[in-house]
Amino acid sequence: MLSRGKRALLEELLEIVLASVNPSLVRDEVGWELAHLIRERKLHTERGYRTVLKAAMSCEPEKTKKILRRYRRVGRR
Amino acid sequence: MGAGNVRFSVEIVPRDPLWRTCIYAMMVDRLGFDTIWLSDHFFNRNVFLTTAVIAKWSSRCLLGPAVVNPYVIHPAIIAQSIATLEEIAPKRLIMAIGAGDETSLARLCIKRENPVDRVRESIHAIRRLLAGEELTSHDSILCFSSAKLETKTAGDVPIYVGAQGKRMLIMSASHADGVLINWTDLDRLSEAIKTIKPIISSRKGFDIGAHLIISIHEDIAKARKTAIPFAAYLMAGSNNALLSEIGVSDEERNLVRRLLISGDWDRLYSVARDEWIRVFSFYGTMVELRDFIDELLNQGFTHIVFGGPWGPRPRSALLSIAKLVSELKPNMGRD
Repeated sequence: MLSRGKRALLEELLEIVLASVNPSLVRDEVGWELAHLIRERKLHTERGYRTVLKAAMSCEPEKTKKILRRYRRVGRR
Repeated sequence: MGAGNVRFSVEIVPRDPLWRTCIYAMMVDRLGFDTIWLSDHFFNRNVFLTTAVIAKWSSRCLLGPAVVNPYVIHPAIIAQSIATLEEIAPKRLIMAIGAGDETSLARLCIKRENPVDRVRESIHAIRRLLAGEELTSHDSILCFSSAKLETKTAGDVPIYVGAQGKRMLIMSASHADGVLINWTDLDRLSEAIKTIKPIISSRKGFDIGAHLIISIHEDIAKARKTAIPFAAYLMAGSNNALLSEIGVSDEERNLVRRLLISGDWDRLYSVARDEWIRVFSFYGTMVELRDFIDELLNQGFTHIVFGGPWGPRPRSALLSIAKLVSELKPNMGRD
């Protein structure tokens, strides 16, 4: 079970993956794993988080790093 | 007007990797929309193959390849594809056919000759082939010689027409099961519905669809920016009469076409004008979209198709549109 913060982060990363103009930069295996996790309603798990993060880093690395930095700052407070 | 009997659908353009198209299809299916329309352009993923995949990633939505083009694909192959899809997803198929735009056809060196006749004859041929009939016809529009499908019959698959022009609208109202009107501005949609209403008064169940290009966001500038490439694509493919009517010169159209082809988005954003963006797309806030949809329902539309881009944050936009639809149609089935 993901913490509330990580769940919110996952949602933001998913938004990035689904809005990206570079979806072809995501390896097909990663993309399909993401689709399967959503189908099986297992997205909000550690595995789901790792998969979304991998996809987001592939298609929008700068945006993803920015979001991760923001969440880390919030987490430290 | 109440929205109880109105269908609310989503159009997905299969230009993304299939995994992402499947994710969106799952969302649309789970959110309770009625139909997933999948657009057909030769440069994107194949519409029939994509529909076959989507069928396995959704469980209840109707699935509609749309708008398939009878110049590019022979109507017998369209019928064959629909019959095969009907086996994959029984009772979930619907389809739309249309003559497409001249620009796209020109890229395949295909002339768009006699579009209304071509679409009308294709509707009848597809319907008869799906019903299991054998066709022989040697007219100048379509040619068949003892053509018959050996598949299961699928004669009750509804056939819609994607239409804009007056003659195509009139033909659709007389020969098809429904129409998807490819405008997003209220005046043209209103004009279109006035054209077909007298013809369909005796045709119970004829479905009148508004096929919209939507971009929503609370920040209107962001919504507008996202709508521009989609509106530009439609503008660049429009005929001269329409462009003249909305005050777009040949030079402007050619410039926009060049910018689209070269992917010079910054320049495209700087030259785009509301006079044509607003004709080919809706951009604005959810409140504005609600007013827009209310107006369409008042005009008598029985089917609303939310076509992309949906917004700069497409997933959030889709969730917001689903919420709007559930307010309009409280019994909309959700997963």
